Amino acid sequence: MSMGMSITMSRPAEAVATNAVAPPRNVMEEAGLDLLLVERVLKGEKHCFDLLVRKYQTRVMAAVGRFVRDRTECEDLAQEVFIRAYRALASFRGDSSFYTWLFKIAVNAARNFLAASGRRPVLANVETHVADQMDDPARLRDRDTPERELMRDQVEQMVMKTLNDLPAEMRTALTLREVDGLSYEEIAKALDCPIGTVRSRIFRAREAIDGQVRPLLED
Amino acid sequence: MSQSDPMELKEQLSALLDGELARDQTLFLLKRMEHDSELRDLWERMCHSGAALRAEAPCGSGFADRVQAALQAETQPIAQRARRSWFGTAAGGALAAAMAYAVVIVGSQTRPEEEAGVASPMAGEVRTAAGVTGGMSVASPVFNTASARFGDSTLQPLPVTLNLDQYLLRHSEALSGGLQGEMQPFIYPVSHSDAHTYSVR
Repeated sequence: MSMGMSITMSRPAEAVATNAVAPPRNVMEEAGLDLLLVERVLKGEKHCFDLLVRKYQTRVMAAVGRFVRDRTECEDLAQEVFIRAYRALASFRGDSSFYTWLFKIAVNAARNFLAASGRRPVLANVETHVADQMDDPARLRDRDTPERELMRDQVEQMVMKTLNDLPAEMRTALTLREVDGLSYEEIAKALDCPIGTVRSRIFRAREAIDGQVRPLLED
Repeated sequence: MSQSDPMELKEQLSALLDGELARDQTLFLLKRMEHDSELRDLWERMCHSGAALRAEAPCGSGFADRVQAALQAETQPIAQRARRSWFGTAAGGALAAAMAYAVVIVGSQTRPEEEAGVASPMAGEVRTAAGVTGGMSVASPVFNTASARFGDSTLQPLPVTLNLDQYLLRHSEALSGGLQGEMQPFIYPVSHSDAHTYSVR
């Protein structure tokens, strides 16, 4: 975990690996969902692309933030990234994850931007495969305006406070999902509970957080 | 959200966000979200909360709306564009190859004239057309040889403007379907002034 959370536990994935292979479940899985959204966009359902934008906007911002320092320029670039992605969407075949594909577009856009403006990247010699694995999503922090920084801190503190106030089983389920990226099936095995319970716990945790965060985000 | 059990709908949305919803339910929910802005907003807030848990810096409010507004101008169906894209690339490549062949033929036929210093207007046009068509670099041996044979004086000047440059880049990008993450060939417009740069001495 990258942010000093109070939850400590053994890595559940290791426990999962020792369990017997479960029968396949009839769910989309994240990569499948992204691919489905892409397919729907290609069939003319533009709102599905909007869902992809809302889902990946922070990660794209973090990606371009590795190259460009100014926050406003980052947002402009991120917007450009999504527009380019939209135009090139038919070339996405699902060979890699949607975000990996999007990340390459972001890197190209950032490099082109820097080349056009005759500047060097914030991080010298950032290569795609290296940058993809860099774990510094908070790099943009020191470039925020005071107002935005305040808002972001408030949201983050509220999320963390609400999370810590949740019952342990809900807190653990959500953290394993959002931070460790485990599937429901893996979480169910790690916590020794049914998948439906995992789904319910994660939802209730999100619902509790949303109740606190919503007023802040809507301001 | 106008369904009788909004909590169930929200729980489905949460599962959808994690890719943990069955396909039929996914399709149903996606269809519903097309007209349910509250569900879309909830989706975004859940994404924001997840980003906060991962200590990711959020975008400014309204970012997704700005992207959506920018995409309103994108009226061309993407899949249709993609189908044209490979056709355009193939057609462009074939045309470029034909032009290159024509350059070689014309070059071999006009060699005596060239040695006599007689200009061949067609040669310049052919070479220019091949360069503009894309898919083949003017720095290739074929063109260099042809250029050396004709001499720089045989090339007809092509008005080169910034607009033309931008057009060529856009054209190249359109032919290859976006090019993101791939090699991005750059097409030099052929003009009288810089033609000597690519000649073989």
